[in-house]
Amino acid sequence: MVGVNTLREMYEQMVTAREYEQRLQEAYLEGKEPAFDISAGPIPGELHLAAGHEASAAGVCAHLRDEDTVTAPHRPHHIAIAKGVDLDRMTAEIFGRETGLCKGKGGHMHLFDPDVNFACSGIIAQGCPPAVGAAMAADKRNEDAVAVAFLGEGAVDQGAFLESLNLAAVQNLPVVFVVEDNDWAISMPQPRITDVKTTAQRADGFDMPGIRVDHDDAIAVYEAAGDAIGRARDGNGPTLLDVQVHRRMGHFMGDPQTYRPEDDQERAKRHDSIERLAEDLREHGVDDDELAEVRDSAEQRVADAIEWAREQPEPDPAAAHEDVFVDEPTAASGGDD
Amino acid sequence: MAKTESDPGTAGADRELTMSRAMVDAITSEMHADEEVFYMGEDVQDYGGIFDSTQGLLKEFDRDRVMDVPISETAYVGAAVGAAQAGMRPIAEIMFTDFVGVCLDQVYNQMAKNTYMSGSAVNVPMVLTTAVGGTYNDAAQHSQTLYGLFAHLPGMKVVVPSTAYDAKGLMHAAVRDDDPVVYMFHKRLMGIGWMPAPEGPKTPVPEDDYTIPIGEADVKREGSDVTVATLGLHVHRALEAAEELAATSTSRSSTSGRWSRWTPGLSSTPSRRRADSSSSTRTTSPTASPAR
Ligand SMILES: Cc1ncc(C[n+]2csc(CCOP(=O)(O)OP(=O)(O)O)c2C)c(N)n1
Ligand SMILES: [Mg+2]
Repeated sequence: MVGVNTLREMYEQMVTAREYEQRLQEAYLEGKEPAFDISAGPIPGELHLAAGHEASAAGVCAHLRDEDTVTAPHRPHHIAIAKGVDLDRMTAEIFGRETGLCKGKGGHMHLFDPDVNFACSGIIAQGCPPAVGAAMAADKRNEDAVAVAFLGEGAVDQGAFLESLNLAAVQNLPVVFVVEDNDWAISMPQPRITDVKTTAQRADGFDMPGIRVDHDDAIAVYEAAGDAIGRARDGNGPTLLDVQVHRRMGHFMGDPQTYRPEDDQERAKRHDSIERLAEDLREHGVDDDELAEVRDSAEQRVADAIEWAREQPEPDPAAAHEDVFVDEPTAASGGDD
Repeated sequence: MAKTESDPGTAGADRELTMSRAMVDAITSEMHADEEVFYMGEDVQDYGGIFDSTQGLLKEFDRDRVMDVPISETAYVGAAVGAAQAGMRPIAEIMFTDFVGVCLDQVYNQMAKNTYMSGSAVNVPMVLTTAVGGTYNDAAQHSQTLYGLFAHLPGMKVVVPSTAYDAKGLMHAAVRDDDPVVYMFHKRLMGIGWMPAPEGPKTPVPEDDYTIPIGEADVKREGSDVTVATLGLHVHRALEAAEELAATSTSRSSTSGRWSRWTPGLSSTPSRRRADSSSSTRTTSPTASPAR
């Protein structure tokens, strides 16, 4: 059974993620209103927000340690926060600053924090093979670290995902695939792109356990993830975890969502896993003051991170040429001068 | 079917289009003219293409001709190869060109090579459309142009429109071509509401169908001192630079250059010049001329 402290921690991760993205959204829209110009403002480029996905990240990452690896897709903030990625440097990265996690070269879809073994890929399903690789490394070194690959339900038709399931299964590797099913792949609803009813069923084809958590509930995710991660850590191989979440917003900022039935967004908003967890906490005797305290401190943490990020220097344009190699080629081996 | 001319020029065209409208205009016309032409991609139905590449198509055609497909590029780009070998004329879209990595085998081992490897027993009359380019801070997985990657594949024709006029004529030519054509449209030139285009890509576009020969560069500006061979967004940047230089140059020399709509194709002959030019200017032939 999940203890009240764990519940409180999950709640904290979830409200931090929600608050973070609300503040980020405001910063993102600076310079982009009234006319939306994706290259304007302090955060140019795409921005995929994860409001409605928080329960899956919090429930899964509650079982992870720093040495466990997580790979995240194009919608990574809630996962990064739950994995313990440095919030200040992550924010500076999203603002494209020199002191960001990746010196401003990755941006919001491509966050890398080796301190907590967190990495992203903006290419659909392409975080799966590296997660298998991290699990392979742990296995070869006889460490009990595990790897978790997060992806969307739209990504499960991609070769990299299916090949990774097979490789992980046949090698019995300590990896868990977590599919966040928000019903949409940009404008494409799931029934348009697959005949398979639930992603969990896909595991059958690889003879691995496939578990579906069919409501957006942090405790249910926590319990299912505990089994899956425990199995991986104990050397009993991979699991596919299929978690229902909700997309409360557009696919990315600026998405007109004209393809989406009007009541669908309302439906998504009605299922708020944060409210649900608050309810659970009250049942565990945590009172409203305490919940408010958690929210206040999350707000402060987020405000501080954004303030810090905004003060950070822009990268020197010359730095664009750095980091192509760890060992920069010398002129003799083919430099540019 | 509307009458087809080869490269008629914009004289007499009384409507201006953005590049995306011109591209869709040509696709619409080809799909009306030939039932064997169809379009496959992610978010090309209700969304109309993330970069407006299919905006409005669903109003004209059924969902079995404008097809949303799973995020399975290997499967649907490869399916386009197969349908093309069966005689259809599919157009398949890779949303951002950077995503070609996940289906590269279908692109370079099947789409590009099947004609040669079969001794022309089969051919692959398909078009691969794809959005290219950055300028809006989307980082390294969403910003490349990869012109060179495609142009270096023997068997592949590559076209890069830089204006609406090019976009329509090259799309007509691409769909009708009996070889595989990669049609690379620069996001910044499409005229998308949320990614303002520079002045330049929006041009007069004739109503009637016309083709622009694949493999020939276009001269965008005549001059005698400098030759700049470029493509896509940089055509406009180069033209801007030429304007600036012309304005600041001394009376002794006029500073300008020749600018290209670059369509690196598979011509075994050097590309012809479209405009008469003095012998002091160099031709702007494609650098990529894979063997054929
Ligand atoms: C190989 C590849 N194809 C297409 C895309 C473009 N793309 C980005 S997100 C997305 C939809 C993903 O849907 P899903 O996996 O369900 O995740 P969600 O956005 O719903 O969280 C697509 C098609 C991509 N990034 N990579
Ligand atoms: Mg989804």
